[in-house]
Amino acid sequence: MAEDGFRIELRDGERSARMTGELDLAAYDTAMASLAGLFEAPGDVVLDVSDLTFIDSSGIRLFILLHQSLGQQGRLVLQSPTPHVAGILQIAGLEGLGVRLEGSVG
Amino acid sequence: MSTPVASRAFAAERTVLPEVRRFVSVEASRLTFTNFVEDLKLAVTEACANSILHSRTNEIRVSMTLVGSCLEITVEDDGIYQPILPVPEVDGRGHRGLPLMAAMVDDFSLRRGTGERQGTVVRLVKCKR
Repeated sequence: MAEDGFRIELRDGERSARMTGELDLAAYDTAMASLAGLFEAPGDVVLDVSDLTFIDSSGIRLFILLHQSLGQQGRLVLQSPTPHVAGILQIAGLEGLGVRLEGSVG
Repeated sequence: MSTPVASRAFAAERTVLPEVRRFVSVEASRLTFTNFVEDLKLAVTEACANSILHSRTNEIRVSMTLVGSCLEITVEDDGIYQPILPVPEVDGRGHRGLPLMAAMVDDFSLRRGTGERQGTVVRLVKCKR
C-alpha cells in the first residue's frame, strides 16, 4: 500500500473513528467493512476526516449509506474536513440529507 | 487534432486509481495547471471508476492535450458501456459519479462504447480563467 493509502482507526469505547488518506473506489469495501459495526446502534457517529486527503463519489456513497443506516435514530457527523473535501461534500448535497459537517479546517 | 502532451495506459482495476491520480497531479502541474490539480484528480478518478464499473475493458488510457488556454484530458477504454440507471425513489444514494465529474471541469462529454463501436471515451476540459 502506498503511503497515501487509506486507513481507519476506530476509537476504543467510542462511536467514533478517524479516516486517513484517499477514500475512493479502491478503498470503499475496506472502509464499509471497518465502519459498519459503528452504525448498528442508535445515536450519532462521529468520523474525524481531517486527514482525509481525497474523496470521490464512492466515498460520498459510503457516507450516505452509513448515515441512512441510522434512520431517524441518529446521524453521521463528519468532523474537520479540509476545505477541499468540505467543498466536495457540499456539492454532493450531504448536508441536505442530514449529515452534519463540523468545523472545516482552514 | 493536437498531439497529446502526456499519455499513459493503466490496467482497468480499482487498485490503479491512486497511481492515476499521481499521474494527473504530476502532468497537470508540469503543464502549469497546478491550481486545478485537485479538481482534475477527482474528475479523472470518476472517469476511470466509470470504466472499471461500467465497461468490460482491460485497459484505460489517460491522455492530456493543450488546446489554447485549456487542458483537455481524455479517458478511453475498449469496452461496451453498461449503463446502470439509479431509481431515485428506491435508491436514495443515486449515482453521483457523472454529476460530480461534470462539476469539476468546464466542459465534459461521454461517448459510450457500443457493440458496433467499442470503446467509451470521456473528454474533460479545464480552462484557465
